[in-house]
Amino acid sequence: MKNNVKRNLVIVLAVFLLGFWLFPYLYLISSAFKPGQEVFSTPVKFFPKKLSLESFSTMFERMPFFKYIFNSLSAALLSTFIAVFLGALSAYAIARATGKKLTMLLLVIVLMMKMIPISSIAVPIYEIVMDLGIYDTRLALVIVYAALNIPFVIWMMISFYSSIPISIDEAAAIDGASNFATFRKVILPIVMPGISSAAIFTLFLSLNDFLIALLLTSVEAKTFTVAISEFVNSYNYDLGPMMAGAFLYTFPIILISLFAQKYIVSGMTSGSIK
Amino acid sequence: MKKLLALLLTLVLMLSLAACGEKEGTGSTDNSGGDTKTGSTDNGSGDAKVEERTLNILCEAGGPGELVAKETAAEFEAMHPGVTIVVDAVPYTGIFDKLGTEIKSGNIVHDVATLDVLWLSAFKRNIEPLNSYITDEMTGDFLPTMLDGGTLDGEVLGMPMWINSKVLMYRTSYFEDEQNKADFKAEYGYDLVVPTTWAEYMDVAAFFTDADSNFFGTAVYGANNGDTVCSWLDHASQAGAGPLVLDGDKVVIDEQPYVDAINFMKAQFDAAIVPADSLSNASGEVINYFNNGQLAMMLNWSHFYPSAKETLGGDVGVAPMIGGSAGVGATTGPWYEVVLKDSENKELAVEYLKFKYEKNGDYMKAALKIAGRTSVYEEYSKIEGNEHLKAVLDTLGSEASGNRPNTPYWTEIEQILADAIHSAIAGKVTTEAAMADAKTKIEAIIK
Amino acid sequence: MRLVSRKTLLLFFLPGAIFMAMFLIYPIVKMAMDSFFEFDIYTNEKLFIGFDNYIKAFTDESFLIPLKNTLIYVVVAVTFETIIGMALALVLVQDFPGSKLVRSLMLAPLMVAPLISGLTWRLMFNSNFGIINQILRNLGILQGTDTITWLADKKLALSAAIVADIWLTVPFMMLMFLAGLQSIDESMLEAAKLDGANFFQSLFYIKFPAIMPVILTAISIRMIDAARTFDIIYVMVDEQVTVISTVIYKTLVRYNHTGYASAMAMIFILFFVIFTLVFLQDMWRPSKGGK
Repeated sequence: MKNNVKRNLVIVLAVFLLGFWLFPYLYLISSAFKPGQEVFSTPVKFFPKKLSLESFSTMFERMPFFKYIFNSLSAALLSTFIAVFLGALSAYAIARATGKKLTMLLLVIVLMMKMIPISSIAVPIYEIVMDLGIYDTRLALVIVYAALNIPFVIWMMISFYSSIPISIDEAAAIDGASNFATFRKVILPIVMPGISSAAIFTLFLSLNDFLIALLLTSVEAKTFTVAISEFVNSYNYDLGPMMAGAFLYTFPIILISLFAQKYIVSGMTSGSIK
Repeated sequence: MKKLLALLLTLVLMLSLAACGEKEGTGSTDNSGGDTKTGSTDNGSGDAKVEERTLNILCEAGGPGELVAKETAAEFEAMHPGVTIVVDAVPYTGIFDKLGTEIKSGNIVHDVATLDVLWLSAFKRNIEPLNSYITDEMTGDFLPTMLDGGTLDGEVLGMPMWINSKVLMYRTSYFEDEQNKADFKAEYGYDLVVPTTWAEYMDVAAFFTDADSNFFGTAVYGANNGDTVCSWLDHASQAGAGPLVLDGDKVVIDEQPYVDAINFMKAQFDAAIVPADSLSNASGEVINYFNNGQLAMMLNWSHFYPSAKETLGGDVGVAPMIGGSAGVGATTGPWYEVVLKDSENKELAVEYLKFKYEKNGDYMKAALKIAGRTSVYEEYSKIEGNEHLKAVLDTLGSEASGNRPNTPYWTEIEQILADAIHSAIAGKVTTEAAMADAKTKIEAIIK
Repeated sequence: MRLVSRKTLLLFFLPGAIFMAMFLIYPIVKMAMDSFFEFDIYTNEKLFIGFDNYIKAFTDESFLIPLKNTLIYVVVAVTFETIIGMALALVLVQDFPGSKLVRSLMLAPLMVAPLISGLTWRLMFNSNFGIINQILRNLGILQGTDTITWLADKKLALSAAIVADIWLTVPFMMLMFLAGLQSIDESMLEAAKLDGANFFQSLFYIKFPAIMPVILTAISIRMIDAARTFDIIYVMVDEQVTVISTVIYKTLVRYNHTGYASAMAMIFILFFVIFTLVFLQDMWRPSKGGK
């Protein structure tokens, strides 16, 4: 009996906490579905007085929605593929490097690069992009995102590789085969979960980026995050459309994350839970 | 294995899509070659002999600059076959940031830019002087102060887009209400009028404020940004300041008019005749309050008049700026269209500037109804609904009105001033201390 | 016998290394060099001034104030995130119908772009039409809707930004702690219960010590991320509050003081490097070999 009461209490508490924590996001959703004026009329209410898609239509009018979404998506997907591919390879090289000292040194460097604040190197990166003549192109976003995320992928993959005993390597190498194909056939399948986690994380990091896109894009390659931030300026106070856009952008990402739970969780906790 | 396959398929798909898109992307941003670039597909197949060029215009998002640039693009493209106009609209600060970064890295992307007069000095060396391209006839039609404001060291740097100043806008019904008139006279001893002096302004605002129903007499600018600085300079010029902020190399902000201006703003804040969150308010927030029916008056940029009038069902009146001890005064907020020196299509860009100058009336037709040519102004001020034009002309015609100083360090100076004014209004430091502190900092920058 | 030859290993490593060298190492080197010069605002000519920029950074309030704000931000945010995250983890570690679903949903804020989080909270904190003040008013805590002007006051604005950050990343802390709690040996807890330990005793004497490495790792990671915040501050409270990330950006892009900004950036990076070397040894010491 006592246990049941306790359990119910916990359930109630959990649901309450959940509601409390999701409140801001629910508010985002409710603002997106309010008629434009209602978003900032006083007194403000949580539930829309009447449901309206007005903010959505205004948003579609005011910006080339699909173009920006496409920019964000394609830059994120491509850069993720590159980052994961190169990162997985590099991480294997580091994990199997000869000499503990060398491994440690490389790990330190990689870790450091993972921790660098982007805002401090954003402008030099801008200048590199300019010099290469790829300002305001999706290509620029792809290679910069890839470069910035490779350390993250490496760091994540290292612990996966480390947990593969060398004996497996040796067993697979028995007949002297030592090439990429063998690596792909033997090692990769084992660390697939790690790769999936890294891929999802890198994808989200790129999709949610703001500063790099702000500096490197202008008209053609502008990403959705930058576009959204421009909704409030000195001529328009378009909070409704801004929330509508925010909703459309974040909701699919959240849905995906619900399905990819397993990978996200293992990705975050990798390396810290021994 | 299946997962890998799926991933590879997606990759191939993405690569092909991105590759298709890539040509579009690089098309408009090719800096490394001569004039020939691949235009966007909108241009049609085009004559093989026609040279394809792109003009990249940098302007403010949501503003009349963007609107008119986009509207007139097709016409210009028709006049110049093979040319594509690309309009890059960014938030206000983005214009300065982007241009600055481009110039610093040595890779100019834009051909034409619309600039707030404040920035002309900072970009002077990268703007193409227009002296040889324009005629006296043209400059004769510039609105007053626009030629001076756009000329640095004898070089005319930009074609006027529009001139603007803050004016007084108010809810007519409140002022015409008989009961209000009677009550006001009883309380203050004189007739309820649309204020023209600081004293009247304070009285009227206090009269209309009803904090319980979230209604305020007016709003004051307290946000930590350039808009507040502009408002402060408005009042400073009304109190007799001039030249503004810098007199040659001397920083003059600790002089009386500037102190008076801050105290005037602070008094409104302390008396609570303005919204309590004034410390985060600038023109955007103020117009929001006004359109929401929460203010009896506001001092704001004149281009808000038409939309405010429409939102509030016509119940909006406009008058010139209020006057201080030195009379009516305001800082002007002109915008200019410039050609960048390193543009690869300079001749074409100048053509574009002239074209836009001919179209100056379009800024009138755009919802924001402001312009830079005297002829346009005069033509449109006769039309009903454009009363704000006269208000601006009157305000700018007054002797006390002036321009902000031309210095390449303005952005940084402005930030220092904004901090100082903000702290003073908030009551964190005394006005005198704030100004003294700011003066020291500014002197350190310009030395 | 190696699976992959040494040469191939190098080939594996090279492409990634090239990317990183170009976009991560080169910028740092360039900034390091730039930091010793002063740049003319017009001509971009360089003037060697030695360590002057660094001295200025440590003595001038243009760097010290953002530094202070950043420290406050990091300490306050991470403290709250740790406490709240732990509390949530303790609640959600229990098994009850729907617990998996609740845990999944709690991760939602983590997926939202920091930029969007900033924009949403900015809307909510607005003193005129923000829902937070409205709720406080409905609850009777506030008199009028604009008694507390969150985004107008420097101190309050910092708190508001911290709140946005907390909302965004508590799920991360919760996740870490949850994983840690779940890996605690059940038998230890059972034994403690048999010995008559109550909830709090078991909490402090068994659970916490057992997951201490996780707690410390999570805190370290979070501290670094909090110090790096740019998006939230930039879009929510940029006018009121400066932190190191935003001041570097502004000094470089808006005020054009390349040398000074580079020096600030180098100091910033140095902090991170030292912090990582000291506090995150766990991560780069491959001493736990052969897991």
